[in-house]
Amino acid sequence: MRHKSYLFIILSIALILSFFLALFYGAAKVSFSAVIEIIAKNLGFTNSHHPSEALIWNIRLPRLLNSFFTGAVLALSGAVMQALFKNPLADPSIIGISSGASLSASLAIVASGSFIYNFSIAGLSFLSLFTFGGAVLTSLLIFGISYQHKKADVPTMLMAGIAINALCGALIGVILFVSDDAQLRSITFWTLGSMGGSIWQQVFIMLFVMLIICMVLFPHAKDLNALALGEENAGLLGIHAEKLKRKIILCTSLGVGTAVAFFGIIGFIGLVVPHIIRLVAGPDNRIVMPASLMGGAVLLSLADTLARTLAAPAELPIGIITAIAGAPLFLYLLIKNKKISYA
Amino acid sequence: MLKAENITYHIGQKNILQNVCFYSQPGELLVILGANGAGKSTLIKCLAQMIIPHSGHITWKHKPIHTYNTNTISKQRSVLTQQTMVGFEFSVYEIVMMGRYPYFKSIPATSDVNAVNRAIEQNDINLYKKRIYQSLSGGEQQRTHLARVMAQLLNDNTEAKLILLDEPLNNLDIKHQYGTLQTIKNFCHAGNIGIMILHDINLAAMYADKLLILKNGQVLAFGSPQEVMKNEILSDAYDFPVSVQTHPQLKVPLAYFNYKPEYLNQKTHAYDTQIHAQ
Repeated sequence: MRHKSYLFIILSIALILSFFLALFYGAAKVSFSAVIEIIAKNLGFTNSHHPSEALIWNIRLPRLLNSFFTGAVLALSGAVMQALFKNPLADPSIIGISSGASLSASLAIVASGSFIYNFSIAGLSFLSLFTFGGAVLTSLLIFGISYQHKKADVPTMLMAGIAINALCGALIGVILFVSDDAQLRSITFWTLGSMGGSIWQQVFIMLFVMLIICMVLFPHAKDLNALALGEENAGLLGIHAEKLKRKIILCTSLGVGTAVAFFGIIGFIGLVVPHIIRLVAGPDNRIVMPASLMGGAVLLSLADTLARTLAAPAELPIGIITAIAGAPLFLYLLIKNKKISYA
Repeated sequence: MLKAENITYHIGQKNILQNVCFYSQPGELLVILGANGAGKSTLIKCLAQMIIPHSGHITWKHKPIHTYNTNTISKQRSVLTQQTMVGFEFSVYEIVMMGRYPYFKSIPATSDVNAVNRAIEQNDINLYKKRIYQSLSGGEQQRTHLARVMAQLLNDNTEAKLILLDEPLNNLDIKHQYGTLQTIKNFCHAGNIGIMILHDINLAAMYADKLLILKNGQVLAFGSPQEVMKNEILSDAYDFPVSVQTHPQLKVPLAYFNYKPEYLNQKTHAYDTQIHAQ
């Protein structure tokens, strides 16, 4: 069964709940009225000072908004990648974003010494910038390899992605081999992802990136549906498949590249969120895309709330939470829906 | 109205199409016949601009077909390709609605919904319209795509439209073969052009206004069924013995095959030896 009408109501409620949950819940408890007071003050409505202000305004709120926008971008990128590859198992790592980012991040951690911690531009660390560059370059390289006769060949992209991913994996292996214990630990933590250390600059950048991606891709929702009939048939329906492919690749490299650069590799959101939405509401991208955006935000912020509270005051890497929580949910839906999808 | 001149297409050294010429007027249903590998699908793909011929010209309404912009042409021409794989579990209704994508931005208008419902009715898939495409039989899937390409051309535009169909009767049962051909014939009679590839010579003779027979990428014959359905031409086209008579009721050419299956020879032989033994 497909429940399109309830989906957005449920997602909206979940979004509001996860917003407040993330603000209240944590190593230090903050009351509801205090949160409202602090937000009202910082938006310029009141003047009262609250002792938890720094905690809420400088730590939890940017972190929450970052997890909202990052989750949204990751899930939306997954949804459009799956539409492009006509494969519900596709995710942005196919075009090398994650492996390129991992390689450049490991390189930065090992080669630059203390430089990565001291150097920054407008509050953004050298590690972030370097990682973003690696992610985008790798995906553009894979796109370039598949580009022949003015056309990007999707199967070639897939194969080139596998080859480049393997190559990056090997190079990361070399870097791990020469790294010391502290660097090894940094690299491992980086690959598991974390929303910790979120700052407002990142919030604005993630929001900006998310808005760009939405503005470029949302008008193409039904064109992405038509890709399910194959590129040729989509072309016969008046759709410029080549332009669309370029937009998808550029948007996902920008979005996932930024997310990875700031917060490391956060797996599973891009795969599981669109898939769950499709199981619930069917494959129409006019629904899957906005619902993935909302679902990704909810799932990542909930995962981050868990990541920072489960072992408080220590923090778990968020990649562990998204996989542990997402995988069983995913399996449950797969098994449950197997019976009814052909009814 | 639709004119193809000297269409040539090759893959590597192999010529797939060589100097193919034909034309079609509004109101006509043109059927392309020929053996496997004769170049039928390649010709349809050239007309659909899915591939660009290496030489030759295709003109649609007195203008080279490549001068139309993609959205304009997609409201005048629809194409059924031979195999269409559907990537996600769309419902039949959603797939037919894809035929209307050239007409609306995000939300289908009433005219789009009406066109989809009409195409669903015409192709007798009303019972399955909420089903998931992948759960349908091959024939039902084929009718879903037929409905999609028909819905694409249902508009108020009174100018001639072009429907290209690569083996539209694949997987259809007898009733739906005739039903589909009748629907397409009606569409053509309303001032449009239909071009389709068929393998059933007799269905072609019954419904086609013109036949284009291809052999090894070249035009072997082009004309009305009465003109081109001759023993020699058809036997040559298929490299198989074909005889043509007149259909006893419909008075159209009727082809049958002068070929005796080997097992029938053996049967008569076995029967003869039985008689001899007695």
